[in-house]
Amino acid sequence: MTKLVAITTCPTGVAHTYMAAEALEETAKDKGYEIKVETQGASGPENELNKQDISQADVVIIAAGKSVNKDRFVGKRVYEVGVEEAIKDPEKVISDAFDRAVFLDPNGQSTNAGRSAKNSVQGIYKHLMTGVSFMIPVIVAGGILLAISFLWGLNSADPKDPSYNAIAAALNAIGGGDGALGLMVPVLAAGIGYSIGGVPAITSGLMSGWVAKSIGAGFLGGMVGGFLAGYVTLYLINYIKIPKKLDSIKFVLIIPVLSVAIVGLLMTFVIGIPIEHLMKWISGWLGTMGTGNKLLLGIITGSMMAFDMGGPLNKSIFAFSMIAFDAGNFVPFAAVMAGGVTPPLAIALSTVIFKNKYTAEERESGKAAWVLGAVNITEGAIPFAVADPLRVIPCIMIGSSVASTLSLIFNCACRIPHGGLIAPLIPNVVDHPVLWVVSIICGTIVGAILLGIVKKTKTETEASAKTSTQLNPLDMMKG
Amino acid sequence: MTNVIDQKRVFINRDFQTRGEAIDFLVENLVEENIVSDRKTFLSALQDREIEVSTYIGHYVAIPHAMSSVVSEPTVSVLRLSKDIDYNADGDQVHLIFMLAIPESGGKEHLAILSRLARKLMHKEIRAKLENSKTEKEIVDTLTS
Repeated sequence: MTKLVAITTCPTGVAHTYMAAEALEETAKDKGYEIKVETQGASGPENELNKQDISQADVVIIAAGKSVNKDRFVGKRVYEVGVEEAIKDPEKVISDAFDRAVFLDPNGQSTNAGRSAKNSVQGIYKHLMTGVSFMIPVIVAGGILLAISFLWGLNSADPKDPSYNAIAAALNAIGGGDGALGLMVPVLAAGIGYSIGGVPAITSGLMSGWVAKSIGAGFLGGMVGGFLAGYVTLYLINYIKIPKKLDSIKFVLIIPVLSVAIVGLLMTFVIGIPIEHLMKWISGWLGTMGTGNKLLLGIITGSMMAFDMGGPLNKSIFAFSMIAFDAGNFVPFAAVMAGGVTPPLAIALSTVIFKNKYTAEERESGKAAWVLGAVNITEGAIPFAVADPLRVIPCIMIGSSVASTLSLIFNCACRIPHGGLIAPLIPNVVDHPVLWVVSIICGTIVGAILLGIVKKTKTETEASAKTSTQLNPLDMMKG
Repeated sequence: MTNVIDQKRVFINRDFQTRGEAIDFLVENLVEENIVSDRKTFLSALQDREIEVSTYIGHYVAIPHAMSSVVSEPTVSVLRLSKDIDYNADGDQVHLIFMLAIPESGGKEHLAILSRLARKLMHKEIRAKLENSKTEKEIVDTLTS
């Protein structure tokens, strides 16, 4: 059941406080919502909200004629109005609360400097986790459908291939890069944006993720885009003042157009152009390196594959190996694919061995990561990397480097440009297939153990069931 | 001890032209009853409160109120006008006025009575009853029931 909590207060604390409480309570009951209202009147707080009330609440309404301490609500969606609005039109206040409540940003909320630094780190973490929880279903659905399409054969989506199958082609389109997996980065950015700026930031969040994808910035670009979208939208909401009568225009016209324009232009020019130059520079640099030094090439291949999983480094090393591939040298590509398969597998293994380092939700998506890794969908590792980038990315870079380097040392080669662990099952596609799989197993074990060492143990509340950042998507439909 | 809500402070079908006249009348009555010791101080306290946020609460109802050291007992005065008056700059029309006078050291019980009254006014049925009450006693009964 939808639950609201509210605080009402006014300067005198005798009349408006209670009228607002009554109005909100009656209206919420009429609508079938559960509500608890704390009144902060002249005789002190009554019907005080406890921790459980607050954690169960979908949205917090603060109807006040004076300032209210909001520390209790950090991390909740909070909607603030004047106390008189709750009295005059409680229905509108409640429906607006669902539409416009914004996550209470701990920045600037607390006056204690030390605490606020800690809170802002927690705030960033919370936004990332919200993005991850938006993204996981998209990756799992897309990845699994794409993996299923391979049951008909790795090329079954290609009409010119003898194994072509219409259903496989459809699943490939629905699940793959032009379908669900293609939506992964936009949805990540939308989730981060939503966490910061509420529902209005979803528009610019989706768009910033889409631009991140089209400029080749990958999920790291999407993370940047999500934060940009969230804070730009939040800023616009707070600083654009227009007459009340035009309020609806603000949210259907002004905020969407401005936020999408500002965030989109920033992404295209400030993020996009440097990435374009970076990729040119990297491909030039890779060209001069050659393929002679197997140890160096292995480390570079694995690190670049795992660093941004679909971003500029990943794309550059993939393109580099495809040049060799087209020229008939299939060895570098085997190393690339080993480095691409390893991250999700290392994480999946790590969630099994080190259960206390992961939330219940992460352990569940670890199961999907096995399948995604096996079919070379490196994206299976992205939710874990987003949630804890500074620890996860280095570990999987090392794991992939081990896999890629061993693959080069064993002189493995791969004659098809995709397929993951399915490729060695096909006759005459992979040279030294057993050694190639051994390379991946070694990289997986190394990565998993490193993750177990560097990741922090989850506290009981974090590890159990759902975190408070878990969002019920239905919340967003209400109002 | 004075009742918070009392027939003595309920006035029905009185005619005033402005908010100022109506409020003056109610305050004057409290001064006569020795509930408010200083007329000017209490009026300016009401005015200050009004400036912070209009005490118009919609549905033709206003509840001017103030907390002041010149108030000895918490009371509510009720005024039902024979015709609506302009209550504020927004042009809100008011037909029922509930004026709350609150002493600075308001006892909890009295404050609770006032806040229960405030809650009651949010209910349509209560407001309709107050509109249709024929006697002062009916109004008191509605507010205290």
